[in-house]
Amino acid sequence: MMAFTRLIAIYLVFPGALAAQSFAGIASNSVNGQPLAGVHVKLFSLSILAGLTDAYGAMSASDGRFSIAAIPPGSYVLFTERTGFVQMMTPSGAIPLPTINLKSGERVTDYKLEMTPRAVINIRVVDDYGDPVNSVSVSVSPASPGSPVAASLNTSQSSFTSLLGETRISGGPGKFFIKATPATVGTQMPEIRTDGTSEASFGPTWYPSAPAEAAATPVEVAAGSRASIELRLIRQRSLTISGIVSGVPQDADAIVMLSTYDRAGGRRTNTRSSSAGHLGKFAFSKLPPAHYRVTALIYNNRTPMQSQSVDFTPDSPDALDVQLALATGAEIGGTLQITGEAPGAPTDKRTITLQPMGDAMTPATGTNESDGTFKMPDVFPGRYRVDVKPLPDNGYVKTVELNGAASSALELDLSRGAQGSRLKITLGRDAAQLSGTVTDKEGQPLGNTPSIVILTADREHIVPSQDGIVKEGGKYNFKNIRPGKYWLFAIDAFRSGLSNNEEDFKRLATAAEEIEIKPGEKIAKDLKILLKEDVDARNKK
Amino acid sequence: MRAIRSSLTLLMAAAACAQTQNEPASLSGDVTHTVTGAPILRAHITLRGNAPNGATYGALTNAEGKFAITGIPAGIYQATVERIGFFLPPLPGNRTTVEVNLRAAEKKEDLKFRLAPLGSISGRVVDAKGEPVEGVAVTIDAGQGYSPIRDTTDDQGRYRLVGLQPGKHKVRANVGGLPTPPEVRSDGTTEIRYAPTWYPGAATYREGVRVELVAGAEVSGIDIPLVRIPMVRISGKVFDFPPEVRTATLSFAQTTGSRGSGNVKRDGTFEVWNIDPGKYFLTASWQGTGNQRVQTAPIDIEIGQQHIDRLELRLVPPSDIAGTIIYEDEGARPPAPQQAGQQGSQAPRQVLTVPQPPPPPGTPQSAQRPPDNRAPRVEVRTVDPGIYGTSSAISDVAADGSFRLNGVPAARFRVMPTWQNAYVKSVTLGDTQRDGNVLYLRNGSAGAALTVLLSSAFGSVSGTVADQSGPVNGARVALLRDDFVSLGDVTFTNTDATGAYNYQNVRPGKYRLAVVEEYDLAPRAGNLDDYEDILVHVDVQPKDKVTKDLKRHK
Repeated sequence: MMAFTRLIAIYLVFPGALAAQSFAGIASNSVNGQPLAGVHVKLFSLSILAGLTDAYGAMSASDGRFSIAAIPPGSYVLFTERTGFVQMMTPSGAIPLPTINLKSGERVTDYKLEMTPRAVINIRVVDDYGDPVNSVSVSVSPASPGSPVAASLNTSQSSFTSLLGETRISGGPGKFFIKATPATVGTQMPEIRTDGTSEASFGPTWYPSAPAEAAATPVEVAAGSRASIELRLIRQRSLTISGIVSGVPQDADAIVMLSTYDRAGGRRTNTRSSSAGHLGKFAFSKLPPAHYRVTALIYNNRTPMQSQSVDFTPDSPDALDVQLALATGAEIGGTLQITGEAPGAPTDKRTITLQPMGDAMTPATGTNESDGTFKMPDVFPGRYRVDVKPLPDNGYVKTVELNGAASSALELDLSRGAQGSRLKITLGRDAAQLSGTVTDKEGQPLGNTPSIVILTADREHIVPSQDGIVKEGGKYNFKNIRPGKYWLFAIDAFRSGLSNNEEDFKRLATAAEEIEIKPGEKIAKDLKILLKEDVDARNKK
Repeated sequence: MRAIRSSLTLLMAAAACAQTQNEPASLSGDVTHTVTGAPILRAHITLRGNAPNGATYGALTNAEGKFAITGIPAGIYQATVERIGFFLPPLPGNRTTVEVNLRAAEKKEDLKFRLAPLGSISGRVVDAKGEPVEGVAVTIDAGQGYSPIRDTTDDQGRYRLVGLQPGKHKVRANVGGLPTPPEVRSDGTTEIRYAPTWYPGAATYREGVRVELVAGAEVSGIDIPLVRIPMVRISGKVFDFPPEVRTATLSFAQTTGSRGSGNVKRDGTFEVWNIDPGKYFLTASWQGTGNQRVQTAPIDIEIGQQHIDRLELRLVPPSDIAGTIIYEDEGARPPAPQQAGQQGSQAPRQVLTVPQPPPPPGTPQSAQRPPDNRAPRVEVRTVDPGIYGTSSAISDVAADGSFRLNGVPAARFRVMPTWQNAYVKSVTLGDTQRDGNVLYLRNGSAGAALTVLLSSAFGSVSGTVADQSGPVNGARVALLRDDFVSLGDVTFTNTDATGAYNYQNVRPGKYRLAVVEEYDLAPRAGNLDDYEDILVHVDVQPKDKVTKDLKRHK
């Protein structure tokens, strides 16, 4: 009887304990193979929807043994801590932490947890006089990509130099390139010097004093040792862009945005802003040569305003008299209509939004009247995606007409100005649905690991949508899909081998499955997560 | 002939004079060490023109500490100096620059700067057994607008904070750690959580002891034994949470600006573990229909040693408010606009609805605004840190004192007229009158009308600051309202060379007044705990001129 009560108690405390999974092993020093005591071993669940949950832990004893009993099956992140040691792993996902997948009834008894004595690199960054330089971002990257790195929650191995120009990077042993990136860009005009010196503008510099990684010397540091190096920054040619914003209303301050592009007309990689205040004067100095675009705007006034944009290339000379003229946006009108309903038929209120694509900066919104007509104030030139919320059941933006001509709903081109434009937006009622389960390579449904399904009509510009977030039990579900051709793939933050940025999504998409989705279809489709190996294998063919 | 010669002379004299007027000035001087008097090499001088289109000049000092700038157009400039490892002690009037007025052709040769060396504080962070703790973030506040000075402990638990200006610093060690629920352990060991700990081992900011640093000093042995605290959670439910919403964020923020976030589950429940102890505003937010984020009305919580469960977060619809301004005295009325034709349309006009669109990435905080000559307006700006940052609404004030604010989210707001000669004496929403300028809208307005009473009966507070050796120049004085809500309720000033301080245009009310440390951020968050032994209470009555002499900490 007592045993029975205890069993019930255990069951209540640990649901699933009857078919108990467990995780145990031995921690050792990877250099001398000796057992390692005092290692904190932690398993926890990580999901996009729920965050960090369900933590289990243990400490290794003097014989290195650790043990966690009674864990529900699922996918866990393994996190280890021990003063002076790190766990090394070969990175395979965006988050360099190992994962443990415990199947129902699985008992791991001899997990070999090798801990490596920390390696430390002390770095001092100096200028061309040998004076230390503070607030320089210093990052290390393995000299041979794919080599083991220290498992860490902190995915960027970088830090800033102190007010003595020093920083310390601590992690796994290896051979590393060390890069210093000074924060040079100023919003003041360059200084005039008459004493023969010149104002410094330093570019990104690799150890010991190289302008590119190809010319850099890697630093090797062994387990348990420390290296001290001095990195000498090199000067770069720099660009100054300054001028004046005109048309600033009396009670407003203008902001000037400086966008950096990866190539002319390419992707925006960075945006800086500078207050041009009430007088409209602005300056960006010490700019590294690149593709730039400046635009002035006012966003917190009674009426938003925006100027024309001015572009610069890496070869542009200093531009000290850039004139940016603020203007108010255009008002555009239009109708929103649902397929199968007569034009002007009473319809629910919906919010129509022009979402900026590429160069556009300010979204525009309007709400339709009951007859479907809408007005949208403050629309600025640019390219936009047309968004309607809320959508009717199985609704999607089917067609968009701009001044009577068909346009893409995904890319409405108003770059030549919007004044007087009329939009006709038609919502379809025959959207498709797509749902299923995402599994790992062995066909096991994904547990609680952060993963996302990407459904995209455009393999060049992939924007993951919230709809694609994989839920409990590996389930995913897309509604309101516009019929058409898509690429479909699922990725996992730990195992898909790539980080969360557009270039990586593009690479993964090369191995994605193409799928044609017909109007009104309700597709059930299970997916396996796409791994880096799949992409590599495909690219070899 | 004489006439011709004399006009020639005149012409030449005029030309010479014109030449002198255009002839540029030059400026030179030197930079020395405050302690040793030695010259400082490669100190960087900047000379910035006051005129809107004024250029900036620069120079470096040579081995003798000397610098020279030539070819400077006549005008007024601000000069300053910087050098890594040094700082410029506050100049008379607590200024960071020296004003230089250069006449045409002037050769100014006596601009002298003295730089003081920066210091350091170092020590070890250890656990209850005295064992080193690795990877602990150790920080010292560096003053408003600056990131804290920071280091991370190494495998011996050692840290070293460098680049410190002299002063009395509180050193804080924070282990951080993952916000997971407590670990389930089956091996008999116990999970340990450490509180943010201040030197010499205090779990609260108040109990922390300041480390005194003089210019250039290297203070070592500042060891911090970490303090253990229980693992605590907050949990509760978001009501009115639409089922179609997939993700919602729980945000918690402190008046100091420190903030964090957690997840809301799809059933609206939430559970967040191990938030650092302290007072927070808690809200949940998600993407609403359209593109606006929807935010629940904020609630106050104080994280201590106990769990806080069954919290309830509710959506309160935005309020549309019809308001009226009443003037207690004629002096509180807005000054007549300088430009004719600008004055009041009869009907009030809503000029900006909240929430504002989020500012573009990297947008700087609003800069100093030139004087506003426009029609009078009234502005409400939130004092509850939430997802919107500083959401605000502003309305024109009609000649009859009426105004209108639409779509104001549920939060607390400060009500401010745009003219300077009046303060808000009380705010009445429906039947509820509150003294002061804070409008409580956390539960919405429920259609109630708003009445704002303005007065011009400002008081003033002045006095001197002295220590054992007499009046103190450049002491930082904080004047903090007893009904403190946010940063807007504390004002700082510095004493002049005679040790005098002077606050004009003080809203009547009860205040605390103290001489505070230059880099201490606590008074900005309404915390004068460290100054209880020296602070002074003042009750400022309308039109009162209060005089209080203050002491400074030894």
